[in-house]
Amino acid sequence: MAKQIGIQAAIADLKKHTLPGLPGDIARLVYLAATRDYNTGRYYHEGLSHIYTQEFAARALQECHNDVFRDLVRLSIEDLLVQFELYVSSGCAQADEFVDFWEKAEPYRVTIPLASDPISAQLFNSNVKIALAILRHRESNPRNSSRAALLQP
Amino acid sequence: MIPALFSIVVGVLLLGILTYWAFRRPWSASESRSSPADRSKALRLELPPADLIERVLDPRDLAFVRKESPAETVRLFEQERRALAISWLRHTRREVGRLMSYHAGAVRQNINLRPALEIKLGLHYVRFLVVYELILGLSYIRGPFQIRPVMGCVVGVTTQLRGVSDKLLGAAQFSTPASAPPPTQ
Repeated sequence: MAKQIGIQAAIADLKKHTLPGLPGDIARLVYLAATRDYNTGRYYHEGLSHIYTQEFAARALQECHNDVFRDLVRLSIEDLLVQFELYVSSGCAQADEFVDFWEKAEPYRVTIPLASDPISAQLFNSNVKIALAILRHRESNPRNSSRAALLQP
Repeated sequence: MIPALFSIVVGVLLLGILTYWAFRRPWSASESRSSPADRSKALRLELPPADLIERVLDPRDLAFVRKESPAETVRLFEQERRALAISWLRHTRREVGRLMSYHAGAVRQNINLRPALEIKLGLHYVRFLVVYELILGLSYIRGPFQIRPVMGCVVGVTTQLRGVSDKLLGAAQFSTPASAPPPTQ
């Protein structure tokens, strides 16, 4: 019981202080996936572990990661594109550079939580691939896009 | 004298075999102790989420991609959606197959079969296989978005099949004395 309360408190903390500061769900997904160790799959967060325990912090990060992913998988392509535009316009990279890298290296594959079912993972990868193709098309044909202005500096 | 002795030996052997069959336990100890919930847990049926196929075949996505992207992206999108629909169908088929194998194994050791439910389960399974093959064929011939209206059939038949199987596995639980529920105090 105390364990569950601890985990819930850590989740509330993450949802109140850390995640709202990030520009959209793609940024949140990338952030949460980056707190997961590439070798062990364990989640680490220095600040959160300091306030709660390492175990509670890891569970909270895992839960939030699953939630953000579940929300993103159920977005339409149009809404996913809005999330991508939000992410790119936050200044993480130039739009063309971002699309180039994400299409070639496919870093979005490592952002999928371990607990997700295979069909959800496949749907996410497919949606991202299509969203990137549309972003690329908008980049090369700015007149065709109503949202292209968002990507301009 | 020798034929009579031979007959006695054969008779004793047959009696021994019959005694062994009559007194052997119909369930193994570990199986008889487990509840349907435990067995269901052990089975770990992992059907893909039903709402996900709605998302995969959402026509609004197709309309948006057609409006916003060139023909090659639309083709890629349709290919991806077909692959996803087929993955969803195959995953469901695999899990239903697993459920049937598990069920067959469980009822084989159960002496009190329920023929009506057994036949119902068999009919649901045949119905599932027919629907599965038809939809799989349609997805290749007509494309993924044309099969959307009939995808609900797969979900419906799978739910019915699972319901009947649960009933049967539950009935099997209480059909042997060793697996009777513990007395209440």
